[in-house]
Amino acid sequence: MTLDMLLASALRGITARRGFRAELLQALRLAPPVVVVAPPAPRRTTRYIAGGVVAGSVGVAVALKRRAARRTA
Amino acid sequence: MSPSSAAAYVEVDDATLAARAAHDFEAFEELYRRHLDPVYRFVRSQSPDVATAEDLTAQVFLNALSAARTYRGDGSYRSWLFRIAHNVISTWRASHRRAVAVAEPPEEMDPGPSPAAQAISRKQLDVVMRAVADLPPAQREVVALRSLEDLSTDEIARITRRSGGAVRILLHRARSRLKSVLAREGLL
Repeated sequence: MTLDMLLASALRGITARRGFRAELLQALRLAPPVVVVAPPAPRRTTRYIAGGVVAGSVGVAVALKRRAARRTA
Repeated sequence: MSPSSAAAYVEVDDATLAARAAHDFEAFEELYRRHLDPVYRFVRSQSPDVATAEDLTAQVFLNALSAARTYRGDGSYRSWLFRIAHNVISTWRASHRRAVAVAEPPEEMDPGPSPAAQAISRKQLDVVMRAVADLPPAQREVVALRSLEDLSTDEIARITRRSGGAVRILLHRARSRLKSVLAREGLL
C-alpha cells in the first residue's frame, strides 16, 4: 500500500460524534440571549443552554451571547 | 427559490450561498452541511481529543457565520473556511503548546469505511495515526490538507499563509519522515 493510501485510509475515516452536527447547527441558528451555565469539570468542553438547546462550549456560548446582544441592541 | 427553504439551496453553488450567508441563515446552513465533515476531519487531525476538536470546529463555523460579510469570492469558499480553521487551530496551539495532536486513533472512526480503509487493520491505523501525530505541527497540517482534501500546493499556501516553496518543503519533509516510520513498521 502506498503512503497516500495509508494516509487517506487513516485520516478520511474520521467522523464527527453522532449528534454534534445537529447540536452545533442549532447553536449557530440561535438568536435569543444565551445563558452560560457552569462547566462540568474537568472537561474543557462545557455545556450551555442556548434558547433551550444544550450544546457546545463556553467560548461559543459567550460569542453567541455577544452576537445576540448586538442583534437586540 | 424560496430563501426560507434550506432544501431549495441544495443545487446552489458555494459562491452564491456564501454571498447570501450573511443575511440568510438557510444559505449558511447549506454551506454548513457541505463543509462540516471535511472541516471536522481536518480539525480532529490537529487536535488531541474529541472535546477539543468539537470546540474548535464550533469556533470555526461561528467565525465563518460572524465574518460571512467579509467573504469576497476571490477564492473558493472551502479554502476560506479552511483558512479560518487554520487560524483557530493556530490560536489554540499557541496557548496549548504541550498538547499532543491525535495521540490515539480517533474513537469516532467511521465503522463503514472506504475500501481503502478496510484494507488496513486497526493496529495499522494506530501506527499511521501516531506517525502523523508525531509530526511537527506545520508538517502535520499540510499533510492533512493534502491527504484529506487533495488541495493543491498553492491552495495550501494560501490557507496557511506560507509560500508555495515553503509548503513543498514541509510536504517533502513530512512524507520522508512518514515513509521512514511506516517502512520501519512494515507498512510500506
